[in-house]
Amino acid sequence: MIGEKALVFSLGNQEFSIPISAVKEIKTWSKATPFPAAPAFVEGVVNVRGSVIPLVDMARMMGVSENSNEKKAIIFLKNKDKVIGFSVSNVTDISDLDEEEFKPLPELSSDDLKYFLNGIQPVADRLIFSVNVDALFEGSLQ
Amino acid sequence: MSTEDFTDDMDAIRLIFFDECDEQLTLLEEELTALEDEPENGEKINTIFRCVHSIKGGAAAFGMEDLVRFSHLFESVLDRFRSGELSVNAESIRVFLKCKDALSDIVSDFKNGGSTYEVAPEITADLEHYLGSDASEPEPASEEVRTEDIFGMSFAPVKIEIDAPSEQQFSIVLTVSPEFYERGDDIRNILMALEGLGQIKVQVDSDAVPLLADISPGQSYLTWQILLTTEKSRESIDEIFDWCGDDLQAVITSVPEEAEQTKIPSAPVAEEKTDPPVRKGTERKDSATVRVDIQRIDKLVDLIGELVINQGAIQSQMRRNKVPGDSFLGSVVTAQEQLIHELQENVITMRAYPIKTVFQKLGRVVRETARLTEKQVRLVLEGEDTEVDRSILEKLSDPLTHMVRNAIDHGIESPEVRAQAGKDPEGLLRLRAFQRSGRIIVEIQDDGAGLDPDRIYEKAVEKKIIEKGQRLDREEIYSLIFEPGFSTVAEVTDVSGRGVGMDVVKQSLQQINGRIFISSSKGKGTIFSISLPFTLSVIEGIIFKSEGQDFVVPINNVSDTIIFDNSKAFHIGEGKYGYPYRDGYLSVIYASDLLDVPSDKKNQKICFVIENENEEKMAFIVDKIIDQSRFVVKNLEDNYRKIACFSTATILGDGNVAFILDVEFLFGELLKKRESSLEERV
Repeated sequence: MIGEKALVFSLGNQEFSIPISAVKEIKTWSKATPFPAAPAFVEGVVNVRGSVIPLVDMARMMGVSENSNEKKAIIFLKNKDKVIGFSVSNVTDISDLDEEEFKPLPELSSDDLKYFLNGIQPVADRLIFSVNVDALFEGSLQ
Repeated sequence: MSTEDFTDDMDAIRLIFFDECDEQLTLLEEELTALEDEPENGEKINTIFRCVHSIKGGAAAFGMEDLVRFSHLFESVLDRFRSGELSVNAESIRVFLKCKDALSDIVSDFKNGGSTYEVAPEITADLEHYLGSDASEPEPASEEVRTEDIFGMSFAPVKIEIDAPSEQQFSIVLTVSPEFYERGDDIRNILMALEGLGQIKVQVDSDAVPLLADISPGQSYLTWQILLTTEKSRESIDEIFDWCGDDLQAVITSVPEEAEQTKIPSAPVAEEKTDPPVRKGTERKDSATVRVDIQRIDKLVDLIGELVINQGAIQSQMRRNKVPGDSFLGSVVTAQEQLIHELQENVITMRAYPIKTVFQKLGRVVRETARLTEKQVRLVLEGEDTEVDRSILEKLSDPLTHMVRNAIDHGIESPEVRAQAGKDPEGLLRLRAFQRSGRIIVEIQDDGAGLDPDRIYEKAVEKKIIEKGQRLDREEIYSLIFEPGFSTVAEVTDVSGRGVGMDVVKQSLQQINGRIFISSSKGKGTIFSISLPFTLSVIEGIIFKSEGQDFVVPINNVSDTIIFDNSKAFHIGEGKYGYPYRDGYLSVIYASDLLDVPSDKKNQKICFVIENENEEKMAFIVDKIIDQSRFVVKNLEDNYRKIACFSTATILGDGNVAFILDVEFLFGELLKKRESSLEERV
């Protein structure tokens, strides 16, 4: 959709974007309460004003980087009545979201990453990967 | 407004209509049951009539013709009883109950999107029989035709009401007492209501208003003289004034038609309304209620939960700063805690419904089941006003339905068998609800044959649930009926064998933290008692620490707490330990093992003896106990999914999340481990 904005954030040194309509809240990263038998990418659960919300290490889940990067922020996203927090390296800025400018990912990029991404949006001299919210939630709830 | 909005609105109104229908049907059932005890009570028939009438009214507004037609037929019959032409007896109550069932069928059919509904012909024939009882042609040959007639006719009176040309005039003189305004009422409301009936002309008589200096501000000096031209009857005018009680004096006189042009009589003295206070007392037994969206109350419960959490935060901060409890701050915070506690209990009761709503649905189940099994059953309800949280009530309906069916199908004997045994041929089924030590107890009691331990044992052996020769006490044998696979296809009957066994009943009760107990005596009957928590949103629990993390164990799962001495724990098998307790040994589970954290188990000092529904026990070893308190329950599935060992969580005073131990799950895991190690050996 033309005219929609996207929130740009970083995982390590790569930049990603998410439609701003899905963003519920952004907070400083804090340690989650871990629980047993959780998938490796789930850090645990956090309390956001009385709701218990799972916290997912986005970089680990998408396979962006093996070793956990420095995490400074949590982006809370809402999809189909569920709210999940995703820890990211940092929140950078807000840009225009224009799906028509999306370029497909190159053939050789990893399958994991492809599953979570809509495409690449070149903005000036930056490359921003657009993240698919539905895929994020599906991946998180597994 | 777009058409979409419009249909949304209509849908919303439809939903409200169905809600109201449900309420009316519940009331209908209630009154019909009460009518059995006092068939002479005219007030009951009136209420029943009104229920059916208001369903008809709503149905007409939504164009549900079949519903209008049937409720009209029902209503016409009731009208005969109401007017005293016919008198109520057991047979007519039976017919009414059938009609009520048919009504709820039609309503639920329309609710589920149906648009037409055929009522069973024998029901309409029954009704028609009452209508035709004083008609001159009772030949059964014309039955079919007459049914058609009635159907054809039935819709007409609704229209006649509108078309009725007989306009009448009434003169109404209103004076009010100061209380009228104190109650927040307004004369305009009355005028608007009157305007709804027809044309009104109003004159205000202000002669009685004194000079400004003499005015008493609370007093009302005005008199309203109203000339109402309406097609409606005198009763509909009375209805408006019924609401006002004594605070409003209305003198209503009928004005002869020829006098239409005459001025409003200045001093009408006529029929004084004398009876409204009396009628008020008998007619409206319902207490005043407000319809509030349940989601708003849920939100309120959530918010108060957060308040409780904040309160905890304040108190833990005070402890940290060593604020003495008897200081001013300390006492204010303690008082506040008490207030919040009360607030929480109040709001939780707002979400509570009387168990009546579930019990009454069972009346129908009993009738149908009794008919199908050709048994005579009398249903007795006790403690219907016992209140239960809505979330629990919703999940109680299915298991109770199943158990009631079972009690009639398998419990109560046929009239012949009962007579032979010297019992009343009519079986008794008693549903009872009451509170006991903070939990709700629901009992289903029948005076049937009782459970036969020998037969249950044999059957369990047959179904390979137990091994032949296994020694079980009576309670253990009874509880076999809850085993999966106990009731199977072999005993499918029309009634209870619908592929769900008592295991499903037990499972669904467990979901709402319910427990079930059986007591039975051969030849005398069986009592199933279900014990339920009052609410699912708050639990009493013990908070403990393991490897630096806080957890909560529900207090009703903890049967004992003892000091743990690691040197007494003994190794049984790989990763399995035992611990002496009283005169036996318990399986040991270390909290740290659940958490997958490496632990030297040095800090583990406390042993909870935890217990599940089946009163199986195990030793659960933790580091230390912190406190016992009430915790607001947060469902993990709201934002995530089920996780192992913990079904729910709570938020502590410091804002951290603590998981609440799912004891049933833990026992399940223990059992699985046992089985898998067995398999490994094989």
